[in-house]
Amino acid sequence: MRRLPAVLVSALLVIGCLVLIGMQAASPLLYSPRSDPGVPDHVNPAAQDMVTGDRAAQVLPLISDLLNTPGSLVLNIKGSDFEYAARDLQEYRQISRQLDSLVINLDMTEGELNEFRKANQQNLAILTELFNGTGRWDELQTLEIRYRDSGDSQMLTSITYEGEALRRRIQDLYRDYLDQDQVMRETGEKFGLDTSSYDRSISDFREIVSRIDENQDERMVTFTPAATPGERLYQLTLTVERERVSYMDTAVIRGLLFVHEKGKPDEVDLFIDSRRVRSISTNPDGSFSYSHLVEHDHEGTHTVFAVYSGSVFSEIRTFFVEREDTYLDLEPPVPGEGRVELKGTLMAGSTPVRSAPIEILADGKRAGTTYTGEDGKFSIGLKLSSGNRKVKVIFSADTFPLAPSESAVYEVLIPTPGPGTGNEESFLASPLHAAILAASVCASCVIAFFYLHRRRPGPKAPAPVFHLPGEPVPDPNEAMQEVLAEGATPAGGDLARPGDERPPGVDAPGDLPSLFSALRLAVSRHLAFLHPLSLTPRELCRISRDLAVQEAVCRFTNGYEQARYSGAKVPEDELDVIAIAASSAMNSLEGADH
Amino acid sequence: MMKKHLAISALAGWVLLVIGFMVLARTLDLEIFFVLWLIGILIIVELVSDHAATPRYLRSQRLVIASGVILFGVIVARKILEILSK
Repeated sequence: MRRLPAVLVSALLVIGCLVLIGMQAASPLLYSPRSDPGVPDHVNPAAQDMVTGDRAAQVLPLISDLLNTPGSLVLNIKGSDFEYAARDLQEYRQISRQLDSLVINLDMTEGELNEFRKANQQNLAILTELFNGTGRWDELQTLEIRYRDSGDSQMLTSITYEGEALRRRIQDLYRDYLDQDQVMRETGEKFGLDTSSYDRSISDFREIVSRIDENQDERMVTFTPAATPGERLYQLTLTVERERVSYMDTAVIRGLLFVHEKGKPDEVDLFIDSRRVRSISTNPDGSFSYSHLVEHDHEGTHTVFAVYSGSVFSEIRTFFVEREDTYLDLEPPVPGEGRVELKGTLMAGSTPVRSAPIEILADGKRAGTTYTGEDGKFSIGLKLSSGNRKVKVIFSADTFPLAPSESAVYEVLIPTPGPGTGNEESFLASPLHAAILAASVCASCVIAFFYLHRRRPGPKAPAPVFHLPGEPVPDPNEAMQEVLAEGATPAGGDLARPGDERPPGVDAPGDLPSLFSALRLAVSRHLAFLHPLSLTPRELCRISRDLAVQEAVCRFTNGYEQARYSGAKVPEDELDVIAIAASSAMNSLEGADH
Repeated sequence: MMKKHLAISALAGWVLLVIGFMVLARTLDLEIFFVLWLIGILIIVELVSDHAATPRYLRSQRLVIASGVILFGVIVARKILEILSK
């Protein structure tokens, strides 16, 4: 019964280990065609076919959903049902995320599917912006009615200008949406999927653009600038010097304010895409200018207008930001132990692209991100697991009027960190690492030491027997009787025979265990030894070396060992000699105690 | 059957079981195998040994287990350093 807890703990540990092993059974790591890092010639056509079929089965439903969802989303936007449109957009976002993770997990980052994924990401961004833009357009419609009723011409002007910016933006979105059409349609047709819903989304999108166009045209026709008869139409004029600009070009916007006090500078607010860019101080003659650096403006048409003191509006001007191609150059990577150093440059024509995010892909999975400096250069050290890795960098150009680009793919062999070289040195180089290693080894050494020197719980040792000065010393024979009464029965030897002549205090020479117990108690009491029952015969002989009775004690213990453990029959006279030795030793000890 | 033979059979059975599961799971990991072997031998030695006396063949096993515990400490330290260096 004492072992029941140990058995239970063991059973729990065994079950825990089996569960831990079982949990890994679902993810095979030993070998799979996908994880096989072997030689380039290693091909398993049967397995590859199975994997390809498996991939297609997983990807097809997602592609089908991604072709269908925009149709419903654009239809809801067209019907101004923004609640359902928001739900569709959320669903679209989730499916796109699923496709992204699936493509990465299945290592399908190359080829047409990757093109489809990129086009879909573009569509998601376009439709998100369309959703927000049409929502704002709807608000402007409501505000227009309110301000028209109240006759607030300034607010009407503001709404008209914002509406114009929105119209141009949504036109740009439609153009971008059409750019993705070919990839989306071709992928759907290749997999034999129904693309009618996607086609319908394009026609619905076109209707939205047409409707906004018509509404804005009506608004512009009915819009009358706040000017009195006989004066010029606009009291604030605006011109943009270059109407077509590209990345890092400067769009110079000049203006003239006619209604200010001569010789006194004034503040004019400048708006680009209905967002206030800054307040500009006019010159004494009322002229002003602003140089807008094209860096994070999206590709397409941008509207510009100026407002003086919240009531005088300029006409709307536009400039067009053209998309420029980029070139991402990656130098041959320098592999190290468990890491790789990457350096490269991002250029747009001859202009370096600054502060641009560069994503690093290792075997198709994102391994890190870095940013270019002022000179368009970037460098990064990445930790990679050992083995052959295909490394490339990409620039996705999310917030730039630039085309995305990616570098050439380099195959890099990342060496395994050697067991006794740089790895160990790096352990010792870092004080934290060295401390962790030392602490763990020390802790395990301490545990091992305690394991080797621990004492297992056994029967409780009897309390030591002491007597105070003045107290009568207990008779060793009584002690012996107590021991016998407690169950210390003779374990071997012959039983005492009646009629034998024995020394006083000795029952029979065959009762050697009792004699040994009594002598052990007597010696322990004399020496104040705490654990008398732990003494073996030899130990008893050894601890009594400083006593006068050592010779008698050792003679008894030698004879006792021979009688108990030799297995041979001990003659009677020899048993008597042993018993007499014990008796004399006990008598001497008794006398000494008194 | 003697305790010694029982202990050897139990340890061999445990090790074979671990190897079998590892092969089925296609996850042959020497460190995991070592830790599971250590757990097995620790349990078996504790169950076989008596509180009053330790057989001679178990004394050497206790030394093996103590060495295994030290090695286990080194493995744990390596794992911690791996996690920290990620």
